[in-house]
Amino acid sequence: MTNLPMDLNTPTAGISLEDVKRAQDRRQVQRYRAKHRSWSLLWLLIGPGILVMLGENDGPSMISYATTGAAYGIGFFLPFIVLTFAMAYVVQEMTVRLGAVTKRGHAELIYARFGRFWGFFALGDLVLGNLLTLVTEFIAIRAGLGFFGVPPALAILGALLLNVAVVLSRRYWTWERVVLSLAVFNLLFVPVAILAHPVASEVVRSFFTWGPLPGGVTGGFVLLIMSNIGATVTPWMLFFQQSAVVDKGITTADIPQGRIDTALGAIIAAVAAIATVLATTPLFLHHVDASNFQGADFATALVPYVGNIGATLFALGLFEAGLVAALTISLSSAYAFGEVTGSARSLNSTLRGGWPFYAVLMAAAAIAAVLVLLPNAPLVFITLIVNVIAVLAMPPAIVFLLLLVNDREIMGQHANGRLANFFGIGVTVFLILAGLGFALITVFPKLLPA
Amino acid sequence: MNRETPGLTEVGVQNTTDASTAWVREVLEPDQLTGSKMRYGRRKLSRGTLVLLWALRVYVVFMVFIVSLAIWNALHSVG
Repeated sequence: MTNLPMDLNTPTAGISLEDVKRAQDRRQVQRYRAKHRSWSLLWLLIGPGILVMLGENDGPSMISYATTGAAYGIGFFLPFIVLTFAMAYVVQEMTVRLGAVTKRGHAELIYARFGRFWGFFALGDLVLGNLLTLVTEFIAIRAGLGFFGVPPALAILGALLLNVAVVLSRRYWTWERVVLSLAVFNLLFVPVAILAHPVASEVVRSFFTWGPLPGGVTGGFVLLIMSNIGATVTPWMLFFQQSAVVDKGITTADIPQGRIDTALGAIIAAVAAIATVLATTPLFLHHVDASNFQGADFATALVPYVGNIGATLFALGLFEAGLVAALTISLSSAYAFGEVTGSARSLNSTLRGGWPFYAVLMAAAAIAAVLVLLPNAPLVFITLIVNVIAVLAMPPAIVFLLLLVNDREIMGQHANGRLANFFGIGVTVFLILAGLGFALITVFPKLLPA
Repeated sequence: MNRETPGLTEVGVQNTTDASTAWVREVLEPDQLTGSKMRYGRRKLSRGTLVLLWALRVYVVFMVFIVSLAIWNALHSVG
């Protein structure tokens, strides 16, 4: 790295427990690299990419995929889902490079390079958007466990306690591995899809023909497309992955593995999303109106087609989707808070030294949990507004991502090249326009013909 | 963890060059050490970037209006 824009000399070097924990992880990485143990090395270095992609396969997303399957069946949306995750990969790969090269989170870089206004704006809209999104995750948790007769308060409290327990390990590595092991259950939708007996030839054909599209291009279809594109990459994903890359201790030598990690996450998430569409396709084939279905309604409605086992797996999958997203999104708020305020920003922090970080993390989850449990809380309103808030936050976040990843003073040889900018700028413009269109239509529904 | 690592306390950063922690400096890159992170300065913005940032400000104001309208509409329909 050349021409580092420093305005401070290196302060007196000290070693903290956070450093020691990270160094222990890094020492293992260096040993495996020295021994050329590629698979073991990859095992150590995967995490942020898979978690961010499966975190985005959250409660509302899985409901959205289920609604898509029930409304359109096998056809256009299967290849479209692959396209959205390819776009997500393009954007998230840039966060890997930024984190690995600068060793700083997204919010920290925005604050340092573009000043206080944009730093606090990034923090403010992220924390607000995350809080509202967390509410929708706890709704999914409640719905998923509600299928098994678990009382709402018990379901929410259990999820909250799990969050506390994992975080209190005060070790990034432990947190990451626990959440990774939970995230694998996003693939529960795959056996449900198999139980739905989709016609394999139709599935394969849809990827080549991008069809059929029952009903043709309607207002509802355009809205669904824009909603899906706008929700492909959400602000918390940029902030989370870059901060997690830093917390994990990823360096420039690990960028190839970081890319594999992100690609793996995109592939697994796309498989789970497609499986969810296939799982609810029987509702489309049997003309079941699922337009007003909420969480566990899908599991109940699927019993005649996938049996009790399939319905049970669907409900468990929904619970998992909400839980993993709740864990990752609450962490992204805490990371951003620490980065902008200059306080602790690591899961390796001690409780005493990192109490503001842990307090923000717990408070984000706890406030959302309480909101879900409050009688007469405006949950429908929150669900509606959360997408609009995400759209507000997305363009600045993604524009700053592009500016930062092209900033050669901090990125050196790892800055975007022409090809990366071609895809990066193309995807960015596409995401921004789709999100903007979605926001306008949400607020002015009459803009779109019926 | 701290019991295995002499010279460290639960409080966090401790200025030390103790040999017991030398391996940490060897393993981590300088910018990964919490106590020796260099601060980045403000970026010198080109005219194009300044225009882009002003466009973002206008966008933010516009979207705050849109979100407020969405909230108003939603509350109105709920009520």
